[in-house]
Amino acid sequence: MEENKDVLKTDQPDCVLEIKDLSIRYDTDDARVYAVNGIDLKLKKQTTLGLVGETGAGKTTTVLSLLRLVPDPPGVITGGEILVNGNDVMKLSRKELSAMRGKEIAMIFQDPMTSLNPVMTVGDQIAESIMIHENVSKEEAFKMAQKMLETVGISGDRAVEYPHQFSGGMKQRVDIAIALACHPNILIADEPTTALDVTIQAQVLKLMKDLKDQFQTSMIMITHDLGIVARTCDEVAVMYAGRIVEEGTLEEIFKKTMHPYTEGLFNSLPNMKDRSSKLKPIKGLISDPTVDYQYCAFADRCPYASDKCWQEVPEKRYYSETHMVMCSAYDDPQFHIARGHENG
Amino acid sequence: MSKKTNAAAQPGRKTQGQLIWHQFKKNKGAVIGLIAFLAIVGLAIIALFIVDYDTQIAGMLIKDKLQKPSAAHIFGTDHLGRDVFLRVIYGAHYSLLIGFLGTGVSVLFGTLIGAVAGYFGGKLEWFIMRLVDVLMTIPTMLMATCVVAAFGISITNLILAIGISTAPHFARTARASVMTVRGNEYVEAAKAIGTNDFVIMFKHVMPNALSPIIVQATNRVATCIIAAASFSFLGLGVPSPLPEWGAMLSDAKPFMRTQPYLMIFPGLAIMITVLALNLIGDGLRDALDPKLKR
Repeated sequence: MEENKDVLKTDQPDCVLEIKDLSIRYDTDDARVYAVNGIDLKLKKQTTLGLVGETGAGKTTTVLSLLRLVPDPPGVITGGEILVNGNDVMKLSRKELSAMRGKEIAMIFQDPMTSLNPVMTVGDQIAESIMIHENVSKEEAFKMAQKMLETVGISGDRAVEYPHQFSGGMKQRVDIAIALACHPNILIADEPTTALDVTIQAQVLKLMKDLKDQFQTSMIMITHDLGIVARTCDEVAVMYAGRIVEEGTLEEIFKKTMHPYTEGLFNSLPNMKDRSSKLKPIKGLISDPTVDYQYCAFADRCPYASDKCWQEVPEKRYYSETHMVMCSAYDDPQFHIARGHENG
Repeated sequence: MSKKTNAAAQPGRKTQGQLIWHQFKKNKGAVIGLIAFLAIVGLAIIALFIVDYDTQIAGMLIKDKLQKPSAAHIFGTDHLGRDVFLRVIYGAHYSLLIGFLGTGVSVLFGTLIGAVAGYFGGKLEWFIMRLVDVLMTIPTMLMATCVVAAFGISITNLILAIGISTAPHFARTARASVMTVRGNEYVEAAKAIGTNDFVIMFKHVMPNALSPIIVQATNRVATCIIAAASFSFLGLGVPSPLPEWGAMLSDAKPFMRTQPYLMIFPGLAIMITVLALNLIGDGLRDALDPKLKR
């Protein structure tokens, strides 16, 4: 194991986070839910990776496992490795985990209305993180918290106020301040703008992008909004039923779309050029997560599905160093999806 | 940007306490309860200064015995010639002391074990809650009788007996409340920045889980006062000659037909105190309930 770590460190100096063959399931009394089924991911230094997929695809479970925050029980990590800055998260002790959370990886949560403690001032909440990880006094931590608030565009005087005195967009800024308080090198944003209205979304996204550059942070952005992906991400991984079905650079995913599911996602967006055209949603429902798919989980919704799709899990095909697709249809070298490559 | 937000924040600056008070004020019953309660506390404090314990509480003035209420003795005098009014207001100490400390013991033990059970869950929770279930099957009266019988009659033992026997109720409330708060995203967010379980429990979970416990505690004070009076009435509580209200009722039993005021005034004292506390409890419940805001 030790050897393995060294190899990683030397081979990929730019890689801050690596997930290898990670599987997570939830064992409840009435069902076994296969949330994540063997995914591989790499996050390069100072890049933003977009994790895209429908509700229930396993996006949140994946990122929670990076902090070992998957609720256990019922969550069980059944296999795989997670390397954060070269350290295997699965092997960390409680104390080491505590030291890592917030300091190396920090997380911005989906709903700023519920992710702040209503009975603590925002300054104290930012200072809490600083006090855990830095060796500073309470007063110093509070001063640093005020500075952090100013960094996210809120007056430092407001550090003594409670979350209910802030608007939604402001609260999300506070959330960002908490996450960045200890300058983590990996930032996870779990649908950070879903709960905000569109005008605030743009502000928050811009702020995150600016701060990411300022603090030289790498970021995983979970979203189901392809517009946000286009604006913020360098690389994109598309998840479906606990697997990454297509992965590549922003350009590869948007301009050279290969997987039928990714195509479906793009087709369900309104077409700005022809506004009278009908939306083309992906037919059917998201696959049943209690089934342990030993074939392509997307097969029953896929317009290109053939018999082969029902027989085995498609293998990974690489079309460039970065572009990976998991689809059996490409066995036929003539196969191409219907979506033209120019619109997007 | 920051200028704008500052201006917007100015008018509505209210602390949590001010908000609760604002809400509490709207409930007339609760305010009346609070006034009555403060009056009782005030009288109890005044009593400390104007009453001479040795002569007026523990002494005997046989020539004045069993007088009807008059200008000199507005509540009359008892069978040993002691002024009932002074005894009632002096007795408020014992009732309030037992009520609050008994509840305090109860809240402390109950909330602590309930919160631990609710927060950590699993086998620990199962074990604690079954223990609580067993404690709940023992009637309060029986339990307290056993404690007093084993350790002797004293105020401290009475407080412990009442406290321990009502603790299971708080354990249940605390557990349920902590379980709801535990699921909140800010608890997860606290974990995500590396906060340890101990800090999360006391800094993030408990303050948010307290309101049902506070409400239950206010009502429990009233119950404890009644329990204390009952024990004293049975001779298991505050030893004579201390003017605990229940003990006064007990002392007055033989004179019930001829001098009913001997029972009426301590009885009224118990009633008013309990009613006041219950009204306050109701007011607090409404004030602390976020669903009823505005």
